[in-house]
Amino acid sequence: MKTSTPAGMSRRHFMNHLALGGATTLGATHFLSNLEANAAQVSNNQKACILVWLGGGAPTIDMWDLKPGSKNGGEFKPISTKGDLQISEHLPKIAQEMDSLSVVRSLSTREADHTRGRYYMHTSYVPNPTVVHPTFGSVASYELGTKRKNLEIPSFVSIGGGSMSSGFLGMSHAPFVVDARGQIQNASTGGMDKQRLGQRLGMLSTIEDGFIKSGRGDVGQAHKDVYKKAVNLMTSDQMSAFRAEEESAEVRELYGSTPFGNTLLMARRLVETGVPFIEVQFPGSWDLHTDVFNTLKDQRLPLLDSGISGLVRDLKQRGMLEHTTIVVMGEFGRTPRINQNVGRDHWATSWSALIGGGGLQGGRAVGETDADGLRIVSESYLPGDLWATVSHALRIPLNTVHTSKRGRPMKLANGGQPIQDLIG
Amino acid sequence: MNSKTRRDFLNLVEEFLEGNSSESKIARLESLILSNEECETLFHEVVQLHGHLYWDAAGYGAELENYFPVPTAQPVIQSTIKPIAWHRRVAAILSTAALLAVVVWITRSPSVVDNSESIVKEILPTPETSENLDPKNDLLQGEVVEVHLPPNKTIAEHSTIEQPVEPIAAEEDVLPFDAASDLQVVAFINDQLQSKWDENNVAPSPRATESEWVRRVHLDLLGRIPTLHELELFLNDSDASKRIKLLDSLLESRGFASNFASVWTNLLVGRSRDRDIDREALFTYLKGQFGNNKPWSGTVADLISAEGSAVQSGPANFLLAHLNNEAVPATAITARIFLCQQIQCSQCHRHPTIPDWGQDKFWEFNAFFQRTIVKEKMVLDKKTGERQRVRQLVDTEALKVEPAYYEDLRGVMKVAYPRYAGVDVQPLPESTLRDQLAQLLIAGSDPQLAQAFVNRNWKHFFGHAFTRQVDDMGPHHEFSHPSLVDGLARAFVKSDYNVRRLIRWICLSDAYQLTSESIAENKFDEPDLGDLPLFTRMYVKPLSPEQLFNSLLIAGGVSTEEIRRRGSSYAQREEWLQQFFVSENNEENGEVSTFDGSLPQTLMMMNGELVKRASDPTQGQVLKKIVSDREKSETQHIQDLCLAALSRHPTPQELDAIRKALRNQIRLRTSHNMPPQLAYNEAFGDVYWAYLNSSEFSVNH
Repeated sequence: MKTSTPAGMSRRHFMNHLALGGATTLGATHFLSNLEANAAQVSNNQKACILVWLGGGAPTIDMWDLKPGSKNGGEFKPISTKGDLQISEHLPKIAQEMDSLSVVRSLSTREADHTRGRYYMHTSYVPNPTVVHPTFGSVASYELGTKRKNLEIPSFVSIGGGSMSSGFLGMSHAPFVVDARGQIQNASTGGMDKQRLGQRLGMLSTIEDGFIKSGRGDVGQAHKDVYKKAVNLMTSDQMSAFRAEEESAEVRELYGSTPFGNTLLMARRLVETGVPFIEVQFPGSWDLHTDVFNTLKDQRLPLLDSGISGLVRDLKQRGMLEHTTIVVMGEFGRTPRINQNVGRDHWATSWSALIGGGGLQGGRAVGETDADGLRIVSESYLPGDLWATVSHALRIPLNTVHTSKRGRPMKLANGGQPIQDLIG
Repeated sequence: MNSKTRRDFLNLVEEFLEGNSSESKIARLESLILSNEECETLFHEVVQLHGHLYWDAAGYGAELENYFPVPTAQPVIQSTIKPIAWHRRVAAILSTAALLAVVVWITRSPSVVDNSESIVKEILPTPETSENLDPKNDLLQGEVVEVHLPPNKTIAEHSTIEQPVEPIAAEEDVLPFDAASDLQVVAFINDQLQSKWDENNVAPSPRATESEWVRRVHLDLLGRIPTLHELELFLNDSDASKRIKLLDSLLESRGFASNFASVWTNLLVGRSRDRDIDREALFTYLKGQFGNNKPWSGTVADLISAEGSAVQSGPANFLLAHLNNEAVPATAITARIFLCQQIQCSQCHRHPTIPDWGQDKFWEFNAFFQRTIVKEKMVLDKKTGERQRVRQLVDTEALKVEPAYYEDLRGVMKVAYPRYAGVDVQPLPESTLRDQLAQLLIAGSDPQLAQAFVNRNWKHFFGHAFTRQVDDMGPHHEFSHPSLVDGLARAFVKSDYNVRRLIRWICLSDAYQLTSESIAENKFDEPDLGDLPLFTRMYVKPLSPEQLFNSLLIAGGVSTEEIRRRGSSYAQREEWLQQFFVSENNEENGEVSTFDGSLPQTLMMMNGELVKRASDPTQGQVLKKIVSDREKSETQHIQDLCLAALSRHPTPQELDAIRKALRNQIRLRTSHNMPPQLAYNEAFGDVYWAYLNSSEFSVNH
């Protein structure tokens, strides 16, 4: 399979060509009308969010909200951190950064089926057969990405796997999925004459217009928008943001020098470039129905520990942590009760997420569960509240309303409210 | 109620259900429900539908067995009643129950205790049901919006429902047409669709042009666009019944068997190659089944009861792929694929409104797979002389039933014995549990198995199923055309699950002949927006990755024979597909696709090898042949390229614009000293590139 990253074709060069030869071709400029010559140096104080997705549903009771002394407590002990809370003994490096991070311990989210939970946690809405809600990354892309005129690459990137649909916000805000090495297939024109590409696009535009007008729904228009994005991307120097290998060994070491660490490093480079939302898929499943403790302490937690702590330290050193919100969660937590296979099953009633940066309060444990982890004994939070908190950090106004294709107004984060303990 | 009013009303209801409604909106909703009987019925339907939202009330149930009180007086609901029929009959009962679900659902924090008596009374005023309610239940609490529903009507309806259900035995022979006659079945489909059009005051679009139709039927049946030769044969045929002729010849072709085998292989085991199975053996088996037009019931029975090794037993690969994790994926996927039912949710949770749709249902189904194991052994390959690891599907021989063990919602260990549709099953020396499950699934005149297959095929050909999600025909879902699904499923069973005949009926229906262009009279028939489909026109379907790949090969001049034989181009396709699919990180064997019209697909079309080759005048055989035909004019060359890519002639404006662009490009090239012939060929390559990159190429319409 051929994979390639674009090289050699600078965008200024391309635009010049279009201005000269391409101007005579049909509609080419129309297709490329939103391109502006040469990107300015991007400042690194633009707001961004990195979501680290723990696919399968992580046993947060063994990570962020331990229950020593309970029959549900499991094998791990809590340790003290630099923040005002304790976390698992197998996350010692993160413990050193906990002054910058907080844990929301009272998520109660109802959906404990993988598909439904993934949907709910990404969109703040429960699945509804009549409408597809946008994942929050698409919302950030829609609200922030479109305003960043210098951003030439997609404004919502998902590294190492899927994320969710952009729903009614349309294909232009769909996650741009790249593999964990940041390789993007077919992104190079293979050295084609720039003028020729312009001519091809001109003709394509002619053909498209006929189909768009033919009353066959919006597929034609969506297609056209995505082609615009593709051209932007193919001709942009900003594509180097995907190349984590360009960082020094020292920096990569900070992230643990693992494939997961490299994806987080890539996320930081994307934030520097101006991408407002990056989702990183944790490599490996957290769906630990069996043998939960060994899998956690030998595999999942060490990887997570070095990666997340490295990200926080790196962002801090570069002065970017104030502007970059980090969220670490999966589709649900896992049962406090330990099952017959020394595993934990799906549990959405009372679980935790890690959140920090972006000017949010660090070092706090927000919300509380009972001694066995079975119930919430404080105020409880929904995904909408988490995303409203992130919206606050990203400066997306909370009264933002999007309209579904059917004309129905949809509140930002399903009308959730920022968590006061985090923004206060 | 017209469609606009309906939509507005539904928006109001949804906002109310999601707790986002304002007081004034609730007042409007209330007045609409009270003043308009149709609104009232619709409200009940939607609320009932929304009952399923609490289905996944993950965890709450674990602590509170009675968190959701279901009225005990429900002898009406028995598993012998078929879903659609009682869907309507018990609507009122369900909606009262579902209302409760809504109450619980709107509440946010279960730990806050408040007095809920008044709300409960208001919503559930019937003495029989409120008896079963514990008003102190701490999940029913304040914070709830005040709702004033028309209480008395509910009671009235409720009491009529408690009448004994009409006997359903008479339903055996109620088909209003003769299923042996294709004409009558097709007329039945036409009538059913027509009556919905009349009811909704919409009109169908005109008949599709021959070129629109011929491209459609090739993509649907063979999974690829027609070749120029096939196009010419059809377009030049003056026979009035040429559509029927073509349909029948395609159904008989090997391309059809191969395409349907490919579609079903993907459904059964997914596209990703991560699983340790022999996909090719499964494909070959399915190709034989579709090619010989074997009854669908037999194919399903084979897939469910197969034994043996991955290589030697094609159908065994289905379960070999899904027996991991206590056969949970096998259970969920068998129900989802063959029955279009999502029973995996009930694995942990009970359905709020359907008592027999609970945890035990899932585990009783699961128990059928508990005696089956995957054995691995090393076998000597006679050809290569190497020892290879072989995976085999084997059933344990003991006649003692090994139940499925599970923890119920309160954490109590329970056992479930194999049971389906009310029948308990024991393993017998001559037939395994899986054999018997297969027999239960295909028994009767109207099994869910047939309904599910009808629903899937309808979606295959029309782009939308009768339910919003093709694989969710559960009791909580609305059907766009309930009696049509029912009639077609019965006719399908009567035909002995004859797959080709079912497809023939669908493709001969009037609706399948329509254009995809909307007209003013059906513009609002937009199932993509979440409405139930009316099939007033052909909906635009994005090409599947396989359809797109095969069509690009056709556009590049690869022979249909080569595509069907799955030679080197097949291996290429399998590898090409992997860039768009990744396995999900959980134990339910799901897959995530990026083949959705977003950037990866676009970049593939713009810069990928397939389009590059097809639009290169030295490599693309179709392009080469067209531009080197000296007999034809430049205009005819453009027309032929358009035909080859889109199966239609260019419009006059298109032709005009392209001709001008072409001239410019050729001039530009020759001014850079390119030889004229080369300039001509390259410029045409660019025209072809543009046609292949158009959205029209990437969809079936």
